[in-house]
Order: sequence, then C-alpha cells, then structure tokens
Amino acid sequence: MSQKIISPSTSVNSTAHPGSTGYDYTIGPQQTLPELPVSSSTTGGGIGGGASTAVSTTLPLPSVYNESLNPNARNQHVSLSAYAFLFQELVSQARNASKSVSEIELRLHRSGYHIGIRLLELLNFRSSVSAGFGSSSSSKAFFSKTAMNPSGNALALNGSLSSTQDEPSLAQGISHMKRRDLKPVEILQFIHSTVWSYLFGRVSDDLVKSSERENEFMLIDSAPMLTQFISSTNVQCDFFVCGIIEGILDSASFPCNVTVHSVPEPNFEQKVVFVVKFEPQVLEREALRA
Amino acid sequence: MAIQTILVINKSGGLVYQRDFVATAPRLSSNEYLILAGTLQGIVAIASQITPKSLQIAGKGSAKGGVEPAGGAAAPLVPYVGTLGATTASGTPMGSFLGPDYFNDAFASCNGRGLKHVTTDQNSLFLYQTLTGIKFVAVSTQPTTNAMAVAVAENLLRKAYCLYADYVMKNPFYEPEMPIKCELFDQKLGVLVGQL
Repeated sequence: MSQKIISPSTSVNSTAHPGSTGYDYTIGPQQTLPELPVSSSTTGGGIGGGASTAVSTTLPLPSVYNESLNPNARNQHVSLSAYAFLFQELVSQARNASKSVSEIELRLHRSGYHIGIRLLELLNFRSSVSAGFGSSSSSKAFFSKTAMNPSGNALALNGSLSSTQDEPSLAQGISHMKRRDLKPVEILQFIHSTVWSYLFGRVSDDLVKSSERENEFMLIDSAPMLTQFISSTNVQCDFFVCGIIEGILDSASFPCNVTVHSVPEPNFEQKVVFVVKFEPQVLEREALRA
Repeated sequence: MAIQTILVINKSGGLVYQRDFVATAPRLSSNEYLILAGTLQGIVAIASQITPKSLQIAGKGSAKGGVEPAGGAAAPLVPYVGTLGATTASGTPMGSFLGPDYFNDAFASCNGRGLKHVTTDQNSLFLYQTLTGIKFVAVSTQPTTNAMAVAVAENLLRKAYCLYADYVMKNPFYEPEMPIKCELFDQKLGVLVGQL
C-alpha cells in the first residue's frame, strides 16, 4: 500500500492517486471509492462525471444493495479472525459497563437481539428469490475462516462489475414471496437451517422438543463458531446468539425466552444448547389454530 | 527428544505461561521460573548486541547469524511437527486454520541476531522470538546441537505462537501482558506437543 505524499497545491494531479480515500485539502471534497484495479475503470465506464476535475475514478459500484438482498451473491464472507476481535471488544465493553455476570450476558443478549430482528426480514426476503436465480456461489457462510485476500477481492469486484451490466433485476427472480412461518416448529426449522447456514455455514446440529415441558425447544450446536476461541468462564458469551434467536422469534410474533447452557461432551467440549421457551400465549394460539 | 517444558515470556521479560509436559522431570519452583524468564530476556538482549553489525546485515537474507549458528543455510529443511488445520489427528481443527497447514513451507526466522538455542549436558533450550517481542521457550529432555532438532523446535514454537494468537489473544477475558489462564490454550498446546 503506497503512502500518499501530501503535495503542494500547485502540483494537483487528478489521476495520480486513483485509489486514495479520505479528504485531501489540495483537492477539496471528493467522492471516495474503494481501491479498484485501473483496468476496470476503463471497462466500467463513468457515471456522474463529477463537477471538478479531481474526481479520480467514477465507477458504477458493484450494486451492494442488490448483492445484500441476493441470496446467491458473491463474497458474503467476513473473516472469522476479524470478527473474533470485534466480538472480543463487544464482550469487553459489556464487561466494563456491567456489575454482575448476568448483566454482561444481558448486554450481549441485547446486542444480538437487534441483529435477529433485521436478520428475519433479510433472510425471509432472500428465501423468496428462486433458487437458480443469478450467480451461484459455492459457500455462503457469513463468518468465514478465510479472509478475503486483496487480489481475490479485486478479481471478484472486477467480475461483478462486468456482470452487473447484463444481470437481471432481482425482482425477476421472485415469483411469489415466502409465506410467513406460522407454527413454532416451522420458525424453529427456519432458524435451525436457514439462519444457521447464513451465519455459520452449516445447519445447527439438532433441534429437539423438550419431553418435559410443552413450550420448550432445544437447538443444539456442538461447536459454536463465535465463541470457539473463548475459554469457558463463568460468563456465557453465547448469549449473543441467544439474542439473535430471540430477536428473530420475537419479531416473528413468537414471544419467547432463550437461554443457553453449556453441555461439554468428550469430543465436543464447547457444545451448547439453546433453550427456547415460548410464552404461554404462543401455545394458546396454537391450540386455537388446531 | 521430548518437550519437557514450554514457557511464554512477555515483551517486558515477565513469565506469563509455564507448563510441564513430562511428569517425572525435575521441577523448578515458580520463583526460579520467573528468574529464568528474566535472565533469558536479558541474555537475548545482550546476544543481539554482541552480534557484529555486518553479520546482522548479511544474515538478513538467510536469517542466520545468531550466537548459535544453526548450520545448513542453503535449503532450510521443514520438519513435520503436526498440523493445526482441519486435518489434525483428532479431526477437529485447532484455531482459525482452514487448510491442512499454513506452515508447510520454509520460513525465515525474524530472530536473526538473538539467542535461539542453549545446550547443556542434560537439556536443550530453544527460543522463538516473535516480531512483537514475545518469546516462546521450549526445554527438551535431551541435549542436542542438531540443526534439525533446532528447526523442529522452532517450527513447534511458531505453531504454539499461532495457538497463542487464537486462543489467548482472541479471548476477551485475557488481560494483555498478564499470566495466561486459558483452558483452551492449555488443551490445544497439549495436543500440539502430543503430536510431536
């Protein structure tokens, strides 16, 4: 990464630093774009031109809005290591602001809750897009073990640039919207498969109904991805995922309470069980439906 | 050659981790380990001072030229010391490694001018210094001056460093520069040494 040299205002060069981002006082306000290979700027063509001569590269960005809604979009990966550090900071922050263990867990739970609310909408929309639509990608795990290397990223960006031109609109891939999940089992199946594969790249290990209580279900994950680097302490960091589950269920009108319990087993020492406990009104509603 | 002890010394010379792998080996008291850590820290600093400047510059390419020249600079041999990736013996990956191993290739040690290896009649002590100044120390049960053994130990310690990066640094409950009390790190390090 070449360091940009601050040059005097007499030597303003419009094409010298195509990849630079941030404010440059010699040029003034300008549109900042991620660093793109120079070759793509010629094929991409320009939109919006820009008022000043200083606009470096004007590219139609790969349609991020399309991509985030498109279930088959490329590169929906986040480096697991980068995420682990972010999560670490999240936990530290919760820890510094809390007085007790349960308060830390509550804070993590709350951060996850808001993710869950958004995730339900996004994933429901994505499920509506028919399977074969658009480009296919091999793996769609959100938290990936491989960080995107810059060259691969640039290549993908390049490829999507050329393909966005003839890519059909996302709306064409939707014949009918997915129906809302009405039964507790259906929505839990949705979490077990769709949500889990979106977040962690695989379905959760098991979904069981409690034999003792009517309103309890258990989601089992034998190797939780987000907390795999955290040695077991008295704080259960998986409450973050609990929050995600509860956010999804709450906004799908299944008010419930989700807790997590660590169940170490010989081969899976980090195995956790998410216990979903629905409010009585959910069961009452079920009884009326039947 | 078996690994008797692994130590981790932080950048200010404090002992943050010590673990014995051989139950029968003579044990030092915790105070003695602290002294050992501090002494090593001092010796490493002195060793890098007494290395002639010309050697330090010349050694850049081959990463040799410490106080204990480890021979065979032409083609560094990469010994197999087990893997961290998805194909470990237990089947479960250790750490954030996707492939079988990131470190199958040769590597240039960044410790070009410091102490690498100390041998006595009874033991050998290997030292791997990271760019950030953390030192990983392994004590073996047998003395050796073999270049191969030094390379094995260095590779092992580098993998211990990978585990440290994953299971210690990514643990929100670990305070930097403080003694390491991470169950998972203990466990994975045990597996790594067991693979040897």
